[in-house]
Amino acid sequence: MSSYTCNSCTLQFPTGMDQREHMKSDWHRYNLKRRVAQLPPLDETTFNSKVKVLSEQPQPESNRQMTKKELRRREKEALLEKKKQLLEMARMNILRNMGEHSAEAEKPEEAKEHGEASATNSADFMNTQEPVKNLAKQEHPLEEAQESEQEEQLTPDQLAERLMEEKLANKVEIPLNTCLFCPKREFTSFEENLDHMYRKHGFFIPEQKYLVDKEGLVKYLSEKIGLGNVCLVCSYQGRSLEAVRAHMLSKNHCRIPYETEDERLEICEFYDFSSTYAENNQATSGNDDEWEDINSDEAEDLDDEDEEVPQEYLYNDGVELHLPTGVKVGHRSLQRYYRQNLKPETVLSEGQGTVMAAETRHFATIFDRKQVATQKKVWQTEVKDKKRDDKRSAKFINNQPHYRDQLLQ
Amino acid sequence: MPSKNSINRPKQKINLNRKVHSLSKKRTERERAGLLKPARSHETSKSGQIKSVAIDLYKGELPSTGPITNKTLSKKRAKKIERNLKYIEQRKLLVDVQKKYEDGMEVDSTAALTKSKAPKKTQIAKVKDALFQALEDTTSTGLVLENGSGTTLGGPFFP
Amino acid sequence: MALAISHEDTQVLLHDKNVLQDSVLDKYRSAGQITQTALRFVAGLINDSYHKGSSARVAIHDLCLLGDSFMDTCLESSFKNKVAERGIAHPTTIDIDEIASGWCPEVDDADQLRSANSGVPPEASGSYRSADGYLAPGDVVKITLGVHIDGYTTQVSHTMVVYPTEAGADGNAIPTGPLLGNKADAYAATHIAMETIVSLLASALTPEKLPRALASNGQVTGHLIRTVVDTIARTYRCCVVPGSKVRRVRRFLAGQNEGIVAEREYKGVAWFESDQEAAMLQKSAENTKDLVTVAPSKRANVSAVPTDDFVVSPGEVYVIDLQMAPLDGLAPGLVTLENVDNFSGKSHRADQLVARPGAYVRDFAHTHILKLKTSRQLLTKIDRQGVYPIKLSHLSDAFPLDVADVDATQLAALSKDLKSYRLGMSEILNNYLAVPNPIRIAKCIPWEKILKTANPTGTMGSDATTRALPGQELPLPRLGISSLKLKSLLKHSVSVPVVRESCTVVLCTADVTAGKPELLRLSGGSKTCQPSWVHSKFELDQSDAFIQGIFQLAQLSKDKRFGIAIRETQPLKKQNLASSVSIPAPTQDVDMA
Repeated sequence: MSSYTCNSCTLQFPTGMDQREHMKSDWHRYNLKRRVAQLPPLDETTFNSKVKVLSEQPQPESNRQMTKKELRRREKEALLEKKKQLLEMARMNILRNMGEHSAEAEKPEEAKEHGEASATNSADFMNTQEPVKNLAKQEHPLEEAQESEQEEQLTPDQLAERLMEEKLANKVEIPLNTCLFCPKREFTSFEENLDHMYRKHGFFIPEQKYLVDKEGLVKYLSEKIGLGNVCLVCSYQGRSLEAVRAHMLSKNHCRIPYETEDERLEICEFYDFSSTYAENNQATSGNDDEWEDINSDEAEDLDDEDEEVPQEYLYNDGVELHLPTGVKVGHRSLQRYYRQNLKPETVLSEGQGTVMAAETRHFATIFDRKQVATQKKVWQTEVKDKKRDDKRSAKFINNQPHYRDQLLQ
Repeated sequence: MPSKNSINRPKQKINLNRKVHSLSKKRTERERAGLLKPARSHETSKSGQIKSVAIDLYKGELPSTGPITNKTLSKKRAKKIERNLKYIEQRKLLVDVQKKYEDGMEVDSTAALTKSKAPKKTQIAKVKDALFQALEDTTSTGLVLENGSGTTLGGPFFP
Repeated sequence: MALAISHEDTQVLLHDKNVLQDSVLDKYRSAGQITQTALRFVAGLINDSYHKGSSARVAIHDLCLLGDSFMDTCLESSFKNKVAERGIAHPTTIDIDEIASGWCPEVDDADQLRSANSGVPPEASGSYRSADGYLAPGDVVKITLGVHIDGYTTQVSHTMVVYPTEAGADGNAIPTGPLLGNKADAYAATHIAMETIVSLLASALTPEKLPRALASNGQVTGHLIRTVVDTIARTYRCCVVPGSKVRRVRRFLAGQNEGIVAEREYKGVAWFESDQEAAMLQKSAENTKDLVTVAPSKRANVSAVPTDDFVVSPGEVYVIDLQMAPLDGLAPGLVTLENVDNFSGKSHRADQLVARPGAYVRDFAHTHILKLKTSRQLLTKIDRQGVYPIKLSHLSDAFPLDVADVDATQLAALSKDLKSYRLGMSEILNNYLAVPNPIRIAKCIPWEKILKTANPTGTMGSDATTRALPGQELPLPRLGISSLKLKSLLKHSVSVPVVRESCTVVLCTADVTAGKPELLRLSGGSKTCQPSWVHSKFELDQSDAFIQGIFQLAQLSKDKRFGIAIRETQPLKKQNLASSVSIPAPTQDVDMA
């Protein structure tokens, strides 16, 4: 009787090697699973037949399983990808042609025509159909996917134009005397509207001093919201005007971002900073309040001197800001060092130096080293003697003040 | 050494020892500072004599206690002391003469007097003596006859 | 010490800058010229107003101010933009009779002086005249002034006698006769001693020419200088007043800070009270060796304590400052100096002079943040003036006055400035940032009084305010008498007149003069410091070998070819000294007259 067996498959093996081979086989694994499920093991032939049957079936079965969940998901992903790409292109296009569009925005028909004129015939055909299909877009993702496949055959230019068309169709024009953020809020004048937006939504236009085209700026912003459905502050793009408005109000994004270089450049065409180029130091006006003067008395005439300042540029050496006037401006963080009132270093004249050098008076007490040494020695011997005397006296201390006879104890 | 609260601590011995020590320390300090009076057996001791600030001041024997003093001697008092000292001297002489007369013995009293040792002179006293001597010398040779014609500088004009 | 100077800088400032070169000698010479000119100017003023009567009497405070102004104007043109510091090294002081040094009142001091000193008797001639503000016949007037250019200092003192005048043969005023009496003795002694010391220093350049009687192993030492001066003084029954000195001067160190700064490497002979004490002890013929020697003071640095153990070497600059007081007819006594009290409100003895010092020296060792704005400003001004004594009037914008034509408005501006300076100065003085140059009166205390006095405090009572040289904190070290005790003994003293002569000499080596080595006398000499007409009944005893040596020295200095080479700096010629000076007389002067 051989000792090599497999209990789950009810088999016997002549050698250990055979058993090991069996243990690695699929059959054994299958039987193991059956055993766990408290089913009787299959013999090899049945298992093999089963495998054969299964190997023919799985193709349609797996496909069906995927369609249920994954297919939908995959489709959605693809769609989103496409959409994103398109939007990106559209954005780029919008930004590129902002100047033209801001002027043309009032006449969408013209823009349409312009787009049609430049489009190819096939694109023309597609474009005309587009508005119709747009409505059914959401309900039929599959269709859409097919459609996007078609779209992929178009050039990026054509795509952008198609998107523009889409956008222009969706466009909601916000008039100047209407609030950018609240729906249906009209005012009698543009100024009143601005006031409302400032009060209610904290909409603040930066550097109004140099703003030359206020209406243009607001119009541009309204287009961004109304046409592009893009939030002013973040890159959120709503599906519709209502969506982006809701976003802006909830996130409190009702302002013009003015921090980074790009953000400033975006709206720079409405500004005129040419008056500041003559006064170099005004360039820092953005963070002017963070600097303070080292010499307080010079600070007062700083503003007056600005006009007659030579055309030197100011520079910052990391610690101080050197103004062309010669005034050095220190940073507020170093205030404590500027505040301290140090005595100016005295520079001696030669006469004073000579007299000082010839001086032999000294006001420190001078100790004679020998004297100090002998004094120390005396102290040391005193201490030593005292210790010795204590020791000696302790020797004679009677530890038994009252006599006790040991025998009587 | 037994602790402070030990039963076996020899109370008297240590305490006495300490006391004697501290006393002697204080004593030596005072001695170093010159605050101790000379011993009664010392030759400069004034023990048994009448204590008088005025006489001390007059004789200049009062030890200095610092730059400021409130011990003063009026002129009147000084005169009185001077007079009294003179009388004492005279009385002593009288006593001596009487004694000699009574004893009728030839005793050389001057030898005994010179034998009494004068206190050692300080450096300043020596200097003073020398200066006094010099003063006397110069005053005695004061008169010098001028035989030369003297010195004339300049002339009848304003330089 | 608030500040320390590095070792390298010390080397440069104290040694390298004092090496005698052409440039240095040039500065010395110009300073000497200005000093000579200023002395001649002041002497001319006195002669004009008191002797010749060609102008109104000029008061002492005006003389001081004019002298200072004159020096300042002369300095303005010399070494302009070439040196950082130049100025008055010693404000003009006019000391009469017993006033030994320091009399330089400001212009606005006059009436206060008069009112405070109304009790001074006319017998105390110097004090009386000084308080009065005008000179009078019989006065021995000591003019002292000095100038420095880049720290190279010259100083001069000259004594003038104010004579009663009579019309001479040519119609000009001439003195009625020579000055007689003990003032004349002191005058003769000082003059002779001065000339002798100048030739003695000159012979240090050529020691082989030193007369054998004087030669102590062929060198001119401090001992020799002291012996010569003492011998001459003794012959004329005079005493060398404490404060006299023959000392080496260095750049910025011309003795103006003596008693404040303990100067490193002091080289020179100085006369003190202790010297008189030692001389007295040596007279008593006992074995006084151990009595005379004094243990050296441990308080001061050794190199700052003056000793006689030095040898005069070529290339050095010396100031000879000799003051003598006659002792003839007085009980043997110790000549010492009394500091005149300030206006302090306390009750003085009626015959005591009360005056405030006019000149101040800055003490750089002290630092203090002053409270008053006035005093801070004043201190900055004082610091800018340098290390030499200053008068408050030097700081004013109205200074220097135009000496040829004094404007009353300038004087008024000066007095106005002085008022605010006085306010600031009191705070500066209270904090010892500056020390006044005291007015000193020569007094003679009989030895008898000193020896008889009780001295219970011994040597302990020292007076911190006296400006004693280091090592001389105790005036009479052998007797153990402190300065405080000596001050209390002054009540027994009598004041003695003082005659003062001083000059600065440069011992030029051969390489500087490009010829034979010679002594350049920067100030004094026959041109400006001619002696007044005096006659003393004493004369140098030619039988004495030592005095013969002195005579030989005088002969040598006259010998141009083989003798000792001495050259004198001449006063500037361009200055019109004869220009008449008119002082706008203040009203109170009229009442006084």
